[in-house]
Amino acid sequence: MADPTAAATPVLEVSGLTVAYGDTEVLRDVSFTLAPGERLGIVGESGSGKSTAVSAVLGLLAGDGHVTGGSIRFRGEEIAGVPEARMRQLRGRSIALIPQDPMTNLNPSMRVGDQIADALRAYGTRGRAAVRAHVVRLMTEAGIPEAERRRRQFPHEFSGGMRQRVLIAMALAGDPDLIIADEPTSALDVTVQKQILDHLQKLVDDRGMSLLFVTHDLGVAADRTDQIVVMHRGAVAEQGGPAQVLFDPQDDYTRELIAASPKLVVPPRDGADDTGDPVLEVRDLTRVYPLRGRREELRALDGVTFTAARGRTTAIIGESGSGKSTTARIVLGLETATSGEVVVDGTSTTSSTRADLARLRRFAQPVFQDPYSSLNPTMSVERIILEPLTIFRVGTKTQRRARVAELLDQVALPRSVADARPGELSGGQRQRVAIARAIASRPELLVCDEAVSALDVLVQDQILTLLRSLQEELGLSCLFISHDLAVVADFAHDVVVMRSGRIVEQGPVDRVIDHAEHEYTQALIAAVPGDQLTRV
Amino acid sequence: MIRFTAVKIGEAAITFVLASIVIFVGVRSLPGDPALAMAGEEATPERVAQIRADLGLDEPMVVQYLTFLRNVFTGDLGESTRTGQAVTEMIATTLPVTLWLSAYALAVAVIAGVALGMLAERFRGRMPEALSNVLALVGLSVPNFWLGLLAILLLAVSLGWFPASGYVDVLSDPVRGLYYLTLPAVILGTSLAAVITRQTRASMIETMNTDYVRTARAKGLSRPRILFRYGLRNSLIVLVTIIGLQLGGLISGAVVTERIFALPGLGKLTLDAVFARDYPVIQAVVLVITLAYIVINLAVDLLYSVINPTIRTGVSTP
Repeated sequence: MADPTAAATPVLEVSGLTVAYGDTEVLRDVSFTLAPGERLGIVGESGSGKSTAVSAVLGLLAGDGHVTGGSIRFRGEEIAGVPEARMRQLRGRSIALIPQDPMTNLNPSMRVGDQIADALRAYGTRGRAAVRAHVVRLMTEAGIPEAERRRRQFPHEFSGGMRQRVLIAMALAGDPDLIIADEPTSALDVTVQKQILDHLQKLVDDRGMSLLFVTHDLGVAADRTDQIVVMHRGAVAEQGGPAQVLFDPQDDYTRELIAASPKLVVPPRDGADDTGDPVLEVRDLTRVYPLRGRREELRALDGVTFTAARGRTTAIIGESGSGKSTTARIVLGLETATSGEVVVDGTSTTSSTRADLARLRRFAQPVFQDPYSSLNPTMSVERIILEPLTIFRVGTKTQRRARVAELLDQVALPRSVADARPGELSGGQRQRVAIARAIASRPELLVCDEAVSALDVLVQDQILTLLRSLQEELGLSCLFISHDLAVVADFAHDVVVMRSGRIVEQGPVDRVIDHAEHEYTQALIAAVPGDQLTRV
Repeated sequence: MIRFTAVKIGEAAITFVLASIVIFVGVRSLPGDPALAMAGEEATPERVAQIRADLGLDEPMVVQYLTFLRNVFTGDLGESTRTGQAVTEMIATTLPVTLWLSAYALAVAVIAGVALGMLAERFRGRMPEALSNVLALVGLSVPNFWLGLLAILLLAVSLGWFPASGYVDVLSDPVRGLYYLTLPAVILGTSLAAVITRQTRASMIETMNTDYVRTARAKGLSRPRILFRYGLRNSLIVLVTIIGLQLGGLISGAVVTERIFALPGLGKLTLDAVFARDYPVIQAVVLVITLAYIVINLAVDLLYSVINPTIRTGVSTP
């Protein structure tokens, strides 16, 4: 951590930066300064302009985006609007990017080693042996084991975390002065996120590089940076040291953001007591998938047993591959179990007839993760919400239409959106439509599969509030699938922790989070970012 | 990769056997008795029965089919009822013409199509893109034979740049052989080139907008490197599939093109055989064309797995 005042020339000095796409201004008068060896966090929700700012610094604004005002100085040199040839010299060698999504940022048809070698050659390394040795060294430094063998593999043979390490190796290849990390771990599991951020921090510190860290997660930014810039609607809302921003925020938006950020604290909550009357019983559930072209099979679920109490929220938490979504799909009757039993409201559904299944569908309704792909884009909001009512033949046509209006009120959407199509709505509005559709047939069990994971924190907070009030009002039970321990701590009554298809721990949420017994649960809790946020 | 290749070859073999059954039954169910036709109108019933026995037509269908299959694999495709020539021989002289023409046309189509498509992507919203779009539209909508006639009229008759017809064996005189084939190949390749142009443009626009291309730019790579290794390479995955599907059209297009330029190829042989109701020849030509389709598809499948590594290695390892 360098003292910013000690440095003569800042590594990056952005002042009064204004960027427009076509005639639409998306960035207004953005200024910040990054001293050598310093770590600066840019925090904001989607659409806040944080990624646009990064693209502008790299000279990689998409489409017709262009800088309309202000300046970007790199080590004192003005780089806003310099010719492409000069920018190309700076990219990678002086300013490197670690992009957001490791799944889409590697060339799928090129071996990972060749992709790193590509960069090295562009920076002037010559000779096959020299390039190869350097690739192996970079991959090893980025924390990839067996680099000599793995450099010959393709991206699809790497896990998300390992791909992100490849991208880090790539960014280090040019030994740059400034590394821009654009949400480098938001697509990864928390335990992997922690490893990678720890590793990245060490690499940057060892080399004395400056780090521009872009994130939507205030908790991550507070833990990992020396200075925070909060962006909102294309402008800087607030900036300062993490302690000042977190504990003494000056701007209303920052305050809202802090309040809405889920923290790993279990608040006292109301809701029905566990009466011992289960709405859902899952008994010894096992799901096995054959693996194509292989002898062994994948045990996605292995002896999963738990109950969900009526009127309460039971969360299933786990990382990717834990089997949490498979469990949800089997409970919904969208997938069949290899063995075991699911009892919904006293009726076993695993050996069910069509009539049983129809009853189950009415009793348990899903809300899925991605509100952009889970609503039919060609249907109007009214038709989407009407559909379950028509299928279950609820009431007359006029009664159904009245019910749609009532449902829109319930999820706090204006009745005017009935004629809109999903494409015209925001992510939060769409998720409200998905909830209205789910509760239309008056189900008793709502199965939310990562229902708030794709949403910005403020919207996430609003949707959770809505779910909570619906639960009280309608006495709904909720099976809440999530990877986010902080959200679960905030929202659920009971929690089931899953890993690799098995349950490792379960119980009331305060017991599990405050006194975790299993070491995996403890590791999950330790990996949740936002130590400082918890103390707000 | 070896396993994958073996499976694909096995699939191709099964396809060929199934196709041969369809062809065999198809030809058998054509109206008219070949024995009666051969014997002539005045023949006695004994004579017809004799011919029928000679041809093996009195055997059960299954036995007849197995005999047919055995003959096919030993290269005996029967004799032409029109000329009495061995069908194998007729195909051996005509097939190379069609193969050269199709290969040349394919090369023209791929080179022109990919170049025009990439040009359109590079200069989006400007003249080259508009030009490329217009050319693609013309190539798709103007029929082959009309384009061929126009080309003969302009380039062969008026300007005298190319011969209007004729064929020189490519192997014995490559320069003159390819020169004679140029006009037909360009005409035959036009519609495929148009399809490839459109597809290249669309795929390039898509790949050049991907995250990994942006990351490649952020690495400071040169423009050509990004264009070919990151852009085109990944666009090829879609392109190869499309080209494979369209190659069938190339073969049927060859029939028409050979007719216009009077090339002694498979197309001409087919037309002549159809007009003369020369069943053994028709059967053999259909069989050869079917085999060509199967081989092309096999080649595309194998090529596809080379271009797209996710197919080759299958399940990912952590």
